[in-house]
Amino acid sequence: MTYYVYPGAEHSRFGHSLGVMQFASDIFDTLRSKNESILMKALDASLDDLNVYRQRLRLAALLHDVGHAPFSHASEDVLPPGISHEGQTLEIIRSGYIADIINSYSGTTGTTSEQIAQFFVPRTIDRRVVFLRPIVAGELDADKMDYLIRDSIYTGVHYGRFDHERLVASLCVLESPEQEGGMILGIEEGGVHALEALVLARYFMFTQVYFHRVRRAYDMHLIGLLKDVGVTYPAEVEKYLEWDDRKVIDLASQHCNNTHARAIRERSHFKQALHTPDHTDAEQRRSFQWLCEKVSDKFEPTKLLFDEAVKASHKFSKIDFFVRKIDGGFDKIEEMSRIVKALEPIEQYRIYADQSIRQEVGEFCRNFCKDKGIHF
Amino acid sequence: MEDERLTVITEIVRRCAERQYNLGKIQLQKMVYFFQEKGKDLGYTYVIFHYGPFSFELAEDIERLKTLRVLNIEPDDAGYGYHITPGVHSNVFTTNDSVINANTHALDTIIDTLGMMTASEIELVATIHYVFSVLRETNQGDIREDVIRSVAELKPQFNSEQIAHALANMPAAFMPS
Repeated sequence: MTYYVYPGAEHSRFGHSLGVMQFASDIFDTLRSKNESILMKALDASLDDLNVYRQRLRLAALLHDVGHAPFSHASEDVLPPGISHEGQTLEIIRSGYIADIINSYSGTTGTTSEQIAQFFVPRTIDRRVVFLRPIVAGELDADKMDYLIRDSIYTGVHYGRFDHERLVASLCVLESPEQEGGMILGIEEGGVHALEALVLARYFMFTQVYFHRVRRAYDMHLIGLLKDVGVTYPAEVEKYLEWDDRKVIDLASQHCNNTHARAIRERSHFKQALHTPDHTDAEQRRSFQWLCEKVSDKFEPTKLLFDEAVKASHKFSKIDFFVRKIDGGFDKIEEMSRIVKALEPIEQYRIYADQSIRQEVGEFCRNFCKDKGIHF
Repeated sequence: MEDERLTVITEIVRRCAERQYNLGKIQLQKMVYFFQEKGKDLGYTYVIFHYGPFSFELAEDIERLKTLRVLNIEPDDAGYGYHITPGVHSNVFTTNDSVINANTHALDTIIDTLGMMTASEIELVATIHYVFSVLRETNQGDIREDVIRSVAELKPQFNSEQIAHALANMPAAFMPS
């Protein structure tokens, strides 16, 4: 629902998928051009095999999001229990829709649909997939590189920009400094600032775009509508694929008296009555939960929405990502970058209210906080 | 589920601090891994990563708890890892939680067994468990040789003898069911 706030944001997941495939290709080609033999060692592959693994990586990147529900993460709450979009991706790749296409070429390429599916099996123990998968989905992956830049361009904000060419050119395969014989994806010291730019880009895209208060309100209206009308997405692939953004928007037309449908159709979203800081601490979180109970007791619950916007600023935890220093040594990214070390997860909570009671709810919250000595 | 997860993480850190175990991120990741296997499934998905079974969602929750001031995470003296201890707001997540009460024995067994191991030993034990569980899904026979071969491929820093020795001496409570 980002286009409700940023009207230019009408780009599609297909464009993103092509972008991820391109970034994954660029990363693989960079690793290969820098040190072909170490890449062969990491993949336990011959020179000829490298092209095969490049192709598998590209297909995995292209297909990495096919299991997403309409409006992406916004409507995941109505997936059946135990079903995730990642799981649906795996099912769809294994289904005839995708598998038949990949397998029809396997005679010439040697690539089967199951080899691509292995990228999406969480518990895979295939060491080649374990090595390649972080290029598609890891701390520093093709997915992030594409969505940050793409969303930045289409929304018209500048936060998501970073020097992606420099960043890709700085990636390398490292022989793990802590694990003899282990091969991992890392970065050269010269690329640390480009990596920091990506980290900051992601941080600001979350605080300014993905967690924008109005955008979050529409996400909640969307899920509220789906729940009110009793939608649970089917797990079975054929029926699941019938659900797209258009079908969900049509629901809003069919149930035009529903509060959430009206908010979506008339762009009359609930308004923010209270919010906590970007980085809420545990005491504030507990106070917020207490406040939510009181607000729910005092006001009509159907006229309220409660939001928890939580996201890590990055996942470069110290044990995971290494930098190859100019002097030939290694260090962990958090030791090399004060920005990476300093950025904390975003943790922001909000109360929204129907426009008719928004002032009243806001005043109640302020008075409650004042009486109880709560500071947000 | 969310508060349940945060409560379990906090409780592990609290109990390790009481026992004066030096707890880092690798140990905490693996303790939660075994808690899911032997106590309650918290819904964390584990994949094989640099140091064996690893959950990105858990890593995110650990960072969240640091932001919430529930945990302190400081570089350890050696500079290679972290030292995790309860933070000023650790009491926000109560020790009297039902999931903790129902799984106290499993929690203590995991903490006391893994708390005495080095990070490298924990990595090997957890990887063996993980690989064993995956291979067991499709083979009910004797899979020990397959486990050793697969672990050696994933973790080349361990040789076959080390893996076989660790497999043969796996604590009973840590064998896959």
